Amino acid sequence: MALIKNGRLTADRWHLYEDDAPLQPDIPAIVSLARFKAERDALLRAHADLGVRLEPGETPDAIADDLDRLSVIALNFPSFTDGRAYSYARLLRERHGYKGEVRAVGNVLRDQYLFMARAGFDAFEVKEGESAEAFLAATKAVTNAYQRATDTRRPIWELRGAQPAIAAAAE
Amino acid sequence: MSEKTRSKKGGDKALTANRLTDGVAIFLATDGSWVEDAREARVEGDDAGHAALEAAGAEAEAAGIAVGPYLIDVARDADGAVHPTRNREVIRARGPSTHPHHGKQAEGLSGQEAA
Amino acid sequence: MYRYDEFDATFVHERVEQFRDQVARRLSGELTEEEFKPLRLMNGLYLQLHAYMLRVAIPYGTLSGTQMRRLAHIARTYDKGFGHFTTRQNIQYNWPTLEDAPRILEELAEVEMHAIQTSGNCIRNTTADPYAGAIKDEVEDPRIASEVIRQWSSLHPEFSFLPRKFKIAVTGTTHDRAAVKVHDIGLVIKRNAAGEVGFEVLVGGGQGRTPMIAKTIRDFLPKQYLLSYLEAILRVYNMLGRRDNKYKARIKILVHETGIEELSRLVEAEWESLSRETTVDLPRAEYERIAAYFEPPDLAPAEASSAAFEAAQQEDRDFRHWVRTNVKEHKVDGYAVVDISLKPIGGVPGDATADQMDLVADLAERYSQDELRVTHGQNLVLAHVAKDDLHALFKELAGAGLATANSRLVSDIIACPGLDYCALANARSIPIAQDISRRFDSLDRQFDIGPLEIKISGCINACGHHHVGHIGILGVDRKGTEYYQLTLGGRADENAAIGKILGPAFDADGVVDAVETIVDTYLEERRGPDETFLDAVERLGFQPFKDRLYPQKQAAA
Repeated sequence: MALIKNGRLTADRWHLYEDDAPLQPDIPAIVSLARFKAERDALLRAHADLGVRLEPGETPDAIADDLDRLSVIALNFPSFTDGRAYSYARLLRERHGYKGEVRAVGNVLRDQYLFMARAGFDAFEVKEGESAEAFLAATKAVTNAYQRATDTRRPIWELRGAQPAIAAAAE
Repeated sequence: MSEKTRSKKGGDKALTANRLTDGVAIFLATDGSWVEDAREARVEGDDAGHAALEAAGAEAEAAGIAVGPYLIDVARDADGAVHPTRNREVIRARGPSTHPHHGKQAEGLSGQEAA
Repeated sequence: MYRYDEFDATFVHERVEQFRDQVARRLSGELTEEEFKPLRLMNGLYLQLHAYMLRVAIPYGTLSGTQMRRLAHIARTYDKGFGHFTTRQNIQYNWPTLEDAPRILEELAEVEMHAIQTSGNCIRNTTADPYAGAIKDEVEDPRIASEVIRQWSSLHPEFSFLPRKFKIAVTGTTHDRAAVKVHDIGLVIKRNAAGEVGFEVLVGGGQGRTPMIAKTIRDFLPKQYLLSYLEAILRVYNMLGRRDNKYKARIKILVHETGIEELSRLVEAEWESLSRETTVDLPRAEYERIAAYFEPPDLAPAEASSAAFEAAQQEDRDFRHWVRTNVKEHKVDGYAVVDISLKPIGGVPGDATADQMDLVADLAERYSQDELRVTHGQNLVLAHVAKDDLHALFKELAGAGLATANSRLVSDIIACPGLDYCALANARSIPIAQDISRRFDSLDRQFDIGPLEIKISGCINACGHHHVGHIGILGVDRKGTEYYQLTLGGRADENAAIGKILGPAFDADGVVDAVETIVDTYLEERRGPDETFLDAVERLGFQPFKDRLYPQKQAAA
């Protein structure tokens, strides 16, 4: 697997551990939510760099209290058609203020990069042979967006010159 | 294979798919080419023959010729011409029953003779 | 009507280029069908029985003459000279090639149209009252909210891979012509006690395998919060909607399994949180910018009744009949709303030829402020016609086979494409519609029967809305033979109800006889011409109809 981060192909220094694989200390490790819950204290002690992988159905709420000690949250797409992780990524960024890496893993396809990038993913585990150029082309295929999301794009309604409404509701 | 396209077990079968470039219903012919006329379809009656058809379908799909190949039940009429037996496949081989001037039936293909 | 600015134009153009690249990658073999399928579906391109099928969005069913003319051009150039208007106010072409699809989308983009999100598990084309902006008692034109939703939902990064497709409908009047109660979200524009405009928000309606009537999740939502509230509903649905079984994946099942109170609590909590975190809602200026495109046309004042119009009705019997069924009162005196029937006797419901589309485009420009509507009943509407022009309009329509006087009568049938085109269908729908329409071809008989909506689907996905037909017909396959199940008592208006199955299914010939038997029973049993079919069914129950339809059972009992 190759990793695209910040728009570039990079070497992945992280190791994704199966639940029954013994952990090697000092190698950046990504573990499942189940393993993190079971071995939380030991994991945090042994690994300065620790990440957790969430499956669809495992919401960021499950690790909310530990987010500031986790460097990577990997959100798995067992199938690209399961879109729950788009909401999880937004919640990580917007609700929990998570500043670490949000990584898309699993069935990650070029034609979904744009959606993923807009939802707050900043790292993408991609097929071997995928190019950074293809990634950049895909994320730039549509210049402007109609709606505000997690990326830095200003929505079209704002570009049209209107000022944002006062963010008040449900009072 | 979906519920809609499942053929019954055993019996005479032909292989059909949609052509990638234009979506037109096509059938595997005896010479290995794909044709629009179901009457020219290659028919196989046993398991080995069916497997051979499916293998040819997988190959055509990988080659970007055919989309979604599947087996259909067929029979031969008195003249020996092949025709599908299930309602869905009869319509597919002919064209919409409501637009006799559109589809294969309008082009002299695929058995307008049967009602 | 709405016009694209540079942002809209660039967006749609880039989307075309993106799809052109995707098609090229598919044709070169770089993309497998499995990878390509969701991409083509998000651009409205299906693979059906005979060919690809392209579904083009007609946002909230509103079109200009130029746009309709382009649809005609596409039918002529890339298809077989006709198109099919659907129950989602869209148009479908049955014979485009994959190679032509990007070029077709480019031609659409040139006239501010697209096929974005007309398929796939995303937010689909928002539908609205086809009489929007033209009838009395409208709180606000529902196309404003629909356009706001169209923009917000286009390529929404969070909601493009939902558990299942998602359909929204909007009405601005209490009499519902947009079937909002059988949509995933229905919006009813209303005023609160303080006179402010907002929405009643309904969720969880739908048809298909498990038909349900939508429930109110919020009685009044101030209109400035529309998008943030929708975002909250969609987020809750995206995270909690079932993905283990596609037949249980629509939001109606989530509403059913969670309960509307609990779902409402979850949505309100999500709404409160996301409203603190981000700005989803449009600023007032942008809402007003969009609303300005839907300002009512400047119609010259005219007398409520026109002598020429009255005289023409006296002289021309066909015109008089057509006025009676297909002409509705406009909010401005001297004007009318005109239904153009795409249901000629024995015709294919919703089909129009390229020549008919061209003519209708001309007529819209000449007689109706350059504006057309497509209805979810698969007809067209000219919304702003001067009464003085009605007779001339009628004669031009009649010359093209477009003046059938049957709006909402028994031959105004909704039918899905069925097994003649659709890869999912179990049985044909169109031939049944044609046979029923021929059986009831007498206009006097249709007038006598009065309002009666027949809706036909060729499979349980219910694209032909059979669940909400006064008489619903569902095609099923039994060992290779087409059978048709009848339901009675469904309706899609503000009193929406799901029809109930009457009894054993009929074959293709039998179902037409059965419909006639039902109609005859109604005519015999009704209290008088003022008791409509639906009222009679409600009063009588199913027994009199069953007795006539299944006499042998009666004898055995």
